[in-house]
Amino acid sequence: MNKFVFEEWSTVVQVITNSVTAIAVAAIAVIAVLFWRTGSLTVGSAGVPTAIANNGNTAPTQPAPGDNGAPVKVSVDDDAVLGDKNAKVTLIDFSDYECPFCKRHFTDTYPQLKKDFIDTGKVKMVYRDLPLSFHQNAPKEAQAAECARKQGGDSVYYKYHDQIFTKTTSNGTGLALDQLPVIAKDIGLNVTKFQTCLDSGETKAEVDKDLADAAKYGASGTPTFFIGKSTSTGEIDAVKLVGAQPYAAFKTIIDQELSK
Amino acid sequence: MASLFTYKFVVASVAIATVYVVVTIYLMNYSLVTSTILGDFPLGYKEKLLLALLGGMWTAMTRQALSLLVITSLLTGANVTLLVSRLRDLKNQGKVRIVIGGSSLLGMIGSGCAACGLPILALLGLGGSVAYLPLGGMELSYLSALLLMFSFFILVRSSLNQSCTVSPQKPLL
Repeated sequence: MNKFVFEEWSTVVQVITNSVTAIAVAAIAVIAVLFWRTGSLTVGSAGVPTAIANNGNTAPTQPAPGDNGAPVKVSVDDDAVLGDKNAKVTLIDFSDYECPFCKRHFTDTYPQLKKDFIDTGKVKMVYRDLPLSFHQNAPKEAQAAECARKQGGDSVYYKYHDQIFTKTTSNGTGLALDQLPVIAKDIGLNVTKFQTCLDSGETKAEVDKDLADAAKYGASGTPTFFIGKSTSTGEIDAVKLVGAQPYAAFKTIIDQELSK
Repeated sequence: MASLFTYKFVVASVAIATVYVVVTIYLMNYSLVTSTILGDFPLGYKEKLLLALLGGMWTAMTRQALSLLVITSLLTGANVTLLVSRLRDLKNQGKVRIVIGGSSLLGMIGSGCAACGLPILALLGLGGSVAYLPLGGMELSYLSALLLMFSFFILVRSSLNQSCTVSPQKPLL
């Protein structure tokens, strides 16, 4: 049996400090188990939503697919497509208009990706919505982009998408909601029709569907990308790439998929 | 003090810190990293992708998060090196102690917040909850850095205070 000898007060303090930390980590683990089992946690009365697992989605929590390293089956659904619809590779982007890392991807990586792969017909991109619950304006911005699409199709959707990311400073309220019709006007949409669509919430179901699918595919943060060979059904066996990764990471995966 | 911070100590600390940073960066895409390493891919692809993902530390993290990650990793390296050398000393003296380390794990969990939704914490099912904190989860990194600094201070103190001293209040005879 080990003999514990505490001959210096400093060692005692050290053990206590580390033990407290270990207890804190254990507490986190316990809370995690609670999350896992219930899919929700009451956070208090400060106006914070009570169901916050799955980024506000109240669907039961499932183990994330693809976390064992196997390809994930991901659908493009009926979302807006950028590029050649018959492109060999599909890149699905689960993103949030108010996420600073999504904006960083838009400014730093997306232009090069678009130039080298989308405009050349090698890759088609599908933007799917994953507005996180702690980004206040993100759901409405996602709905607004869908309203733009209703008027002008996929190309207009991406014009609107580009404008939001260009104008928002991100982090939840980076773009005031009263700017949404202004953007619609700037890109030549019928503002009255656009506003009616936005106010009626007719595109909310589409955004919610994406949110539920994201949880199903194991996309727990934004941006999360799924890259794979295109199929006729729109469901791809995808590699999951998380975060605002550099262009080189995308290029390496896309080149590999193109070579298959 | 100078005898504590030797060349060996610096090299070991930096080596551990480097491993810490690499593991933290890869944790964000651990499924992709695992499948790339273990999968049947050309060596060139594996090398390119793993290097590219490492480059993600500049694009997928804020400056604040990256700075904290570097600080936490260096502190972890220094702590582990000191702890190992202290345990070696104690072993030589025939004394056994058990020290439970948790702050490094906390640091790693908190540091990996390189995308909205905090994927590392999401592995534990905590992504959404921590994002509601005022600093969006960076609190964990600050906490771990503080704990590691404290732990480092205590270890240095403990390592230096190894000689027998004569209390001035107690006369020798």
